Amino acid sequence: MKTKVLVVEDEQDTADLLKSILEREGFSVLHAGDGRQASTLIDTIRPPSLVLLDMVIPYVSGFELLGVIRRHPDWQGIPVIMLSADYYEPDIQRALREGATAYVVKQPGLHDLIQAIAQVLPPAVPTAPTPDQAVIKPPSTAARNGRASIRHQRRSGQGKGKAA
Amino acid sequence: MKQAQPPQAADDTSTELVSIDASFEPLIPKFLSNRKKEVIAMQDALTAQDFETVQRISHGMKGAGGSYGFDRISEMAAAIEQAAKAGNSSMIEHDLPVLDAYLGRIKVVYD
Repeated sequence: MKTKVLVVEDEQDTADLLKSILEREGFSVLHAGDGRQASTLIDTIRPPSLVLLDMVIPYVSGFELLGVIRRHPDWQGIPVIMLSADYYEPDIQRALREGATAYVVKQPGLHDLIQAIAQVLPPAVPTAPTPDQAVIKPPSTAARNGRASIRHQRRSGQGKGKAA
Repeated sequence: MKQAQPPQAADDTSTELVSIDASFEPLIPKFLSNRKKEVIAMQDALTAQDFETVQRISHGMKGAGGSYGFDRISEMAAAIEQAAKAGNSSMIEHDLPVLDAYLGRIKVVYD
C-alpha cells in the first residue's frame, strides 16, 4: 500500500504540482483546498502518514490547523511539514514551537520538500521522525540568499498516531 | 534556473525565456493561463479598492511562481502583495500591467 500524504493547499496550481511530485515519488495524495475541508478530513478519516500544510489557507489558518492536529488523539503524532511562500523567521519559530515537524519555503521544483519528506518519513518507520532531526539544510537557491529553506524541529514525543 | 532580466515597463516586447523542469510540462499551460486570469481578477479587485483580494491572489501567485520556478512572477507578485498590504493603489496600478505584459512574453524552455 502506498504511503498516504494529506496536502492542505488552497492555490490549485501549487496543489497540482505537489500532487504530481508526490505521486511521482510513490505517494498517494489526499487534497484539502482550505482549512474547513482539512478539519472535516481530520474528523472523518484515518490519519495519513504525513501532512503538508500551507501556512496561509482560507477559513482556518495553518497555525490553527496545526493545533487541531496536535490536539487530536489519532493525529497528534503525525509529522506535519509546514509550507510557506515566505521566509519569515517569527513564523518559522512559531511553527516549530507549536508542533510542526519541519518548515519548508516554496522553492523552484520543491526539491527541498522531497528532502524534508525523506527525513521525516524514513522507510522503516513511516509515522515518526527521528528525535534528533535538528537539521538546517541550505539548498542552492536559499543558499544564494543566505537562508535555509528547510527547518526541522528537535522532537521526542511523536509517533503515537496510527498512520494510513 | 536561468531567467532573462526582469522587464522594466509594460510596453517591453522582448521575449522572456524561462527554463522549467521538463517533468512539469503538462502543468505549465494551465499555470500560465491561471496567472493571466488572476491579473484580471486583481485589476477588478483594485477597481473596487478590494486590497484584501489583491493581497490574497498575489500571495498565492508568489508561492506558485516560486514552486514552479517562475522566479520573476514570484517577485512581481510579492511586490504587488506588499503594495496591497499597504493599500498602495498607485503601485498596484503600475505593477499589474507590467506583470500582465511579462506573462505575455514568457517562452518556456523545458530542461
